[in-house]
Amino acid sequence: MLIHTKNLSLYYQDGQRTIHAVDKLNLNLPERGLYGIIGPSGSGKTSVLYLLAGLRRQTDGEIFYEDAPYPSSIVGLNNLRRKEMGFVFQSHFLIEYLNVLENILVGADDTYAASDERIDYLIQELGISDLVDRNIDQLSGGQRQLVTIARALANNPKVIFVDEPTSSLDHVTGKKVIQLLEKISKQACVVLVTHDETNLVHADHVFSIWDGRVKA
Amino acid sequence: MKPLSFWIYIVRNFSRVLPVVIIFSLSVVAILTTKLMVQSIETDYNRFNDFFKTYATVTIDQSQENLPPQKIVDELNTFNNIDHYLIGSNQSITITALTGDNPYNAPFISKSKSDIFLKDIGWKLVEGRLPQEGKAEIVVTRGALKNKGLKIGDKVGDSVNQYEYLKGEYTVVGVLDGSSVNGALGFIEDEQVRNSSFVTFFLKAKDGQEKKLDNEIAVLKNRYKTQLTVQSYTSVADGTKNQLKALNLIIWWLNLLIAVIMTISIILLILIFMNQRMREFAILDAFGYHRSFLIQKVIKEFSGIAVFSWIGGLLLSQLFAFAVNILIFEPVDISPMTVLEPSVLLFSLPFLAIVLLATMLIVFYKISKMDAISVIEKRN
Repeated sequence: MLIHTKNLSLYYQDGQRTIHAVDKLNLNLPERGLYGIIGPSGSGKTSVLYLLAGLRRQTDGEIFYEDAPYPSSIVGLNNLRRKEMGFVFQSHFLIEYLNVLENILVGADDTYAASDERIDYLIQELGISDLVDRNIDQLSGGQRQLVTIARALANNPKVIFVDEPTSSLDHVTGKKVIQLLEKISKQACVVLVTHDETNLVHADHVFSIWDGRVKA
Repeated sequence: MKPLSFWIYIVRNFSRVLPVVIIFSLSVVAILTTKLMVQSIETDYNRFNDFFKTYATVTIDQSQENLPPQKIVDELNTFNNIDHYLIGSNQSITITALTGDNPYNAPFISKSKSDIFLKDIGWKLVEGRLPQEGKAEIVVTRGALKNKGLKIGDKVGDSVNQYEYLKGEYTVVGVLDGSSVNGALGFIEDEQVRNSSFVTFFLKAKDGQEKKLDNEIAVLKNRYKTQLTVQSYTSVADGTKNQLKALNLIIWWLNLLIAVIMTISIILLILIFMNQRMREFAILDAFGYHRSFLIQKVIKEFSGIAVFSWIGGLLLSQLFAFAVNILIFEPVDISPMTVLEPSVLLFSLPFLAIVLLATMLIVFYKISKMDAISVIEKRN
């Protein structure tokens, strides 16, 4: 398994009440495939994604990457994310003062030269070669999402975490993005968080999350 | 160039950071200008003091008839460090500087001693002629001529201008130049000296004995107290030092005030920039960039802006100084201002250091305390 969890939990206090955002979650994510995490708002699906991505620390349980526990240090987690993971968030979070190509390079390995070939390939594959010199404010919502996908793939990650990638896109563009993620999942593990079941019709497995637990 | 190079941020966001550049540069101009003014005043004081590097003076008031000149002559003859001395009347001529009207030395001596005097002080007649003894004529230095807007043939004295220190009315007959000493020179007959209220002894020390002579004069002053007035380089330099001490204290507080107000303004602007950029930092954090990298990147960016602004401030200050020198100072021979001196350049460095330190603390605090998820979840 690329990633697996044992009783992964995230609790937090809300006044006197203990909220179980993620409650004793056991997941297995292989090295390739599209894995959906679905659930209604507030079900804890995004919290699961943050825990799997090492962006948030669990309060209980364990999480493993290639059978090794996630690093306990912030530096170790950063290195893991930098080398092995890619991210596509609901909002594009592109850096406004960088052009398209520079934004993609942000996701690349520190030795940019080594990434050149891959970046060229991604740009061609995503059909954004005409956009590389443009500023972010010159792009449509769909184009921005394609750039964020290119950025997420720039370091050739083994796992890509994707949070609601179609929520701000029109139907046609959204479908194109999902198809692209399906294609990527042939080479890597794609973890897709969504509340829209139609995005997951080709998923290898779908985890339904309710109140922080996987629904049977 | 790497996309996260600090240069890219500076170049692409120059219009955004321009308010910081302007505030910073103008602060440097304000700080340096006050420093330059004080420096110019100091130079003018030193020009006044330069006369006393050549001659120490001992002046007695003959109208009180309690200290005959012969007694002073007898005293001076016991001094070990005098090379020679001249007797005359030491008047003053008004030179306007930044601090207002100042009385510069205008000795009146016997014409027979003029060669000795001119050689001692380093003056040469460069235009016109020397005054005739006993006549109301005077020669002035080129600097004084410029400062007072005079030319040969003009009249000078308190009869002509009530704000003039020089008593009476004299015709300018020549121009002196050749040393940094500013002032004027007239000739007086021995008989006139004997009859004048004040008699001044111009004491020239033996080579290298100036300090010792100053000490001997100080002893003389202690002995006769208010019966005589003495001026030596040591005493006038001490006076200057005390005057500048007060002035420097005011400038120091003024500059501290400028630095504090401007630093607060810059800090507020940097806080705004930082808040605007938290999404950028959060996404970089998510992509695994170390916080130390982000902190270094942003500190480099703001340091680059601060250093650029500081250099801009220096250039603006020099431009301002140049304009003031040309338009105001140079026409009246007030000592010019220049930024291009280590003491001036160093004067604005603490401001740069304070801003850099404050920036580093803000950047360090904001990035190290950042909750990337909270920033990302805001989404808008």
